[in-house]
Amino acid sequence: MAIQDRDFERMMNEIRLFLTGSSDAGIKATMFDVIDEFFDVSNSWVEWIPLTIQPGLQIYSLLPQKGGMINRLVTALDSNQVVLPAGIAFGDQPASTSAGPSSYVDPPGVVLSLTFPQNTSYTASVCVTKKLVLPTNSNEVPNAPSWLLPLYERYLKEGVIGTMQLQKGKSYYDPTALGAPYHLKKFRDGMAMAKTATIRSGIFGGQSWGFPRLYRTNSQRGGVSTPFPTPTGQGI
Amino acid sequence: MAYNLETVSDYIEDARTLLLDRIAPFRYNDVSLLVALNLALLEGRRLRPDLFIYKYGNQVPSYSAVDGQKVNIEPQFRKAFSYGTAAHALARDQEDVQDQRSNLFMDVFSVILTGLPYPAKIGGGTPGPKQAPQGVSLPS
Repeated sequence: MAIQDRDFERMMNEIRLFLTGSSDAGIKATMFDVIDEFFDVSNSWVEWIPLTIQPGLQIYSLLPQKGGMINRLVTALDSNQVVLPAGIAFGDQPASTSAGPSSYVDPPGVVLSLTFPQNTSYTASVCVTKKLVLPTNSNEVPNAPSWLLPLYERYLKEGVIGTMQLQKGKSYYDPTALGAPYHLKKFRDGMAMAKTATIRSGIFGGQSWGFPRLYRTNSQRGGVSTPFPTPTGQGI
Repeated sequence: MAYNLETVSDYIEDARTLLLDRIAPFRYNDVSLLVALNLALLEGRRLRPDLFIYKYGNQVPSYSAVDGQKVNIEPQFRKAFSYGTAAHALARDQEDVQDQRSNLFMDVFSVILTGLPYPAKIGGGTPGPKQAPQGVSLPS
């Protein structure tokens, strides 16, 4: 679900209080950049996408189903929840050595390539992080998830204010210590908090440490015990 | 008359109020005020391009008739364009007294948009009574 009107209006009003002489259009344009940076740095917008794997085919088009643009691959799991080695590429992807065709995928999608061909058909789960992509909605509100503002409105507001206070030639231009640098520092703090919360899967008191990727598995195949039973074991 | 400056005719009518030109025959005809409005919009685009994104894309709106066409400017900036229109109209007059008034209106335009007075002032014309060009002293 997209950003709710009530959350958006509240944020706009809070920003207007700080930026005398600002335009709504300018705030919305800056907000797009700030939210985009927030997602890019924090990796907090995650989506699990089901992907039908076909025997011998290594190249797939991967499209987000709930808005945004894929920017990073977190993990791909096969039907047994075992990590499937894979990578993503943007735009063009040459044909693999297997039967996979050459692919070109426009944003917001990406090309996903499996490292090894599979010999059966099944539905894999692919976890990706996302960033903003145009278009915005009809009211120029960025197409971001509904949880964003209730969770991180304070920090995003600081990001918009700080960024706009660095726009020269405006009545709200304020590069002094209590202006843009102050607000942008709070924004960076918020991004760091969101990034940590994402890494720890939102677990209070959780730790970001996990088994090294080489040893990480969710199954006990091969006599290896499951090392990390929380969702962070998915490789985020 | 609308009081919230939404259309071209609203702007022209308000500019006529500022210009003290509300009774026909007008000193400033519609075409000259339309040119002034278009110039104010161009200058507004230079100073505050953010006012034109979303509504106009990469274009600057231009109007050729005094009618009910919408001028999509956010409400808090509309007064600026009314003053900007009047300032351009006054700047074309030749009376020196109008230069000061034009500069004043242009400052209002600029302060609303940027928070600062307009840097370029117009002025000149013939010296007033008991004023001499610089470097020349009048006989006492």
